[in-house]
Amino acid sequence: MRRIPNLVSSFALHIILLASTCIPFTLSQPSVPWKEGNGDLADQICKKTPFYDLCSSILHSNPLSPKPDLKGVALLMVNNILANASDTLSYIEGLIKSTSDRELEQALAFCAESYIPLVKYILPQAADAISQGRFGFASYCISDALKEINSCNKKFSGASQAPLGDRNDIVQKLVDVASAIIKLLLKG
Amino acid sequence: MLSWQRTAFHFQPQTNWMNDPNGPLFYSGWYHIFYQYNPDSAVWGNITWGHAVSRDMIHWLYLPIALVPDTWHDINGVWSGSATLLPDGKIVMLYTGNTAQNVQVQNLAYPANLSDPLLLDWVKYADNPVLVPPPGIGPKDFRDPTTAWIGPDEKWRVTIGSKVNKTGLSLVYRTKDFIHYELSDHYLHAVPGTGMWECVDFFPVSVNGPNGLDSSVNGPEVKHVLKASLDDTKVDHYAIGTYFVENDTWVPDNPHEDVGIGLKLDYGRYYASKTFYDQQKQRRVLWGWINESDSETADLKKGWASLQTIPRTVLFDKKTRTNLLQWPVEEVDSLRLSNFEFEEVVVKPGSVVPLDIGPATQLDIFAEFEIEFLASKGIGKGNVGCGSGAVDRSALGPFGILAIADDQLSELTPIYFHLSSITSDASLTTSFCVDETRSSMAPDVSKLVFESKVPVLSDEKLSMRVLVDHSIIESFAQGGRTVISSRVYPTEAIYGAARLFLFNNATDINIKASLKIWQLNSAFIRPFPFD
Repeated sequence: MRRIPNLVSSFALHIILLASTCIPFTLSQPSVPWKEGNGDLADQICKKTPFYDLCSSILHSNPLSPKPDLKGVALLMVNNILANASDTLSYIEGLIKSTSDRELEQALAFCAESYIPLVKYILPQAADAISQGRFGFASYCISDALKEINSCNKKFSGASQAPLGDRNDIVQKLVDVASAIIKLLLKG
Repeated sequence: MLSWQRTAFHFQPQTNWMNDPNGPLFYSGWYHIFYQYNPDSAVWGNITWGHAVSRDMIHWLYLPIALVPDTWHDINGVWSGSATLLPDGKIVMLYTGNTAQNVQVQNLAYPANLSDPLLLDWVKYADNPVLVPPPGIGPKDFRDPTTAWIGPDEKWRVTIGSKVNKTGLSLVYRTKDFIHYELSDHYLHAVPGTGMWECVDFFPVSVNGPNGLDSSVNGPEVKHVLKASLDDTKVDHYAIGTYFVENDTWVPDNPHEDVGIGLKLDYGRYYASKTFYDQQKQRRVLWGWINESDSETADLKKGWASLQTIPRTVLFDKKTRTNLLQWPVEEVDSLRLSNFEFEEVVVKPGSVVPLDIGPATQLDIFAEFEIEFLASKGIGKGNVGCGSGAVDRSALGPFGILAIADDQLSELTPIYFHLSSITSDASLTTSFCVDETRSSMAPDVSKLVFESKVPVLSDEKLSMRVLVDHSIIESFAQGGRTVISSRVYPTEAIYGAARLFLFNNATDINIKASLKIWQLNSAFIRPFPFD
């Protein structure tokens, strides 16, 4: 079932949106640099994920509670993915609206169908689960998230990779990082 | 023991007995299925509600038991029931309890915590039961409440199957709060001679649109389906008709094909089916229980019994306007591995053609058949029906596929069409058949021929889709206009020894078959990965 997005955007507006949304997503509050002790924690954690730089830049540009722990970091990462995925979904919906290429439209619609449950259920439930200490459930949700993103990825190959650009790829890397962090939580 | 009979992608618990599907619903990103479950044995008894969830209705994860018989009003069995999703987000579960006195009553339960997407824990209403058998209805003739639907008067309706003497019928109750009910003056419908109606289901279908409908939808572009599981024959019947909300009655479009005397939902081993509305993908989805057809001794030996079908979408057949179309949910495609295509394979009378596809125990088969009349033969006479199986040959059939067969054809299950003679207006009556008579060399398994008539329109080719999964075969003719589910228990045609063939046992026609066949992966159904 295809969702027709409501937003009407001109091409120019698209460019502006693109330019203003840079990865990694930053919260609107002023960033609080990690304290000495925290910096070690971020480093320790990110080293155990497959994308150290990405992980590190997110943790260092987002404020955390005074006593950050592994759980807080996992939560931050999942919320970050949720923000990125919501953003990507809006972008996909905008593209669907503005393209006249039927094949591209179908591929994009398929991706939208992967991103919608991601944004509506899977990522929020992963975040809830982490908050409640249900790390097994959280881990399962994250692997579901990866499945949905991969399934969208498969729709675009080679030349037609253009429309989503880096977005799907970035979300995938973020999920890989979150998955690694949650596995650390599971190890206890 | 007998482990080759376990299915790879059909829902079944790890061990023990299962029967009716209960309370299916979609909530918060998860599909839920509950089921009649005996945690202690591979035969019916000690009935609880088992519970499983899935994101896609294929990859299921087992959860802890949801309801156990622990109060006087269900101590002798937590029997079947249905879920209703309320507009404010609440969930109401109505189910039949078999009381300490063996009286059938209806009970109310609801999730303990709606913010738990897995709906693990359930609470029973403190003042159950909410319904007891009304005057004139026997204490053992009152069970299986449906999903509720709301009328223009803001009252919910629930229908419950029953009987009076040999007349099968369905009672209607109206309620605002699911606690206080008023019995309707009329039955929703009644059909003499059909006996007790179990697992009644009542739902709208769109006459012109592409989607399923929420249970409360009504209007000029809508017809209503009434379905009953007949206790006396253990068959699921349905009829399409019109619902009158003014007095909560329903009449069939064709009284000669009324509930219980006309169309069957499935012409094979199939019972206690139930639909639900999937609001995520706007489909009406049908669950059906497939019992074992081997011996109880074998079930106890192997430690498990029964399967659910692959869930099916249900739509009104716009072409015939007299049938429903059932089709496996599209998510079954996610199991596909390698595929094989065969174009216009000619099969001469009395011959069998092997299809080289590798392992043949987990398959999704799409087949189309064309008939070539042999000039020398003229127009011969065909049989009417499936006869006593695929050995029963005539001019125009049988022809089809042989599933779960071994190389020597010592075991085989034909799934086939058999056409009757051409009548004066050049139309054919088409039978669609599944023949279990040679499915196994074991002596203690059921070996029936399942028979159905399927309407074939003049612009349609003969087509079938068949899901094969070790000991279950689900066969769909003409896009799901007729369906036959069957259980097979081969002793030779197991694992790597199972094969697939084309066959033509007609005398006067060649068959040209085109097939697309997928190997299907296991669904790896397992317990939910809790911490």
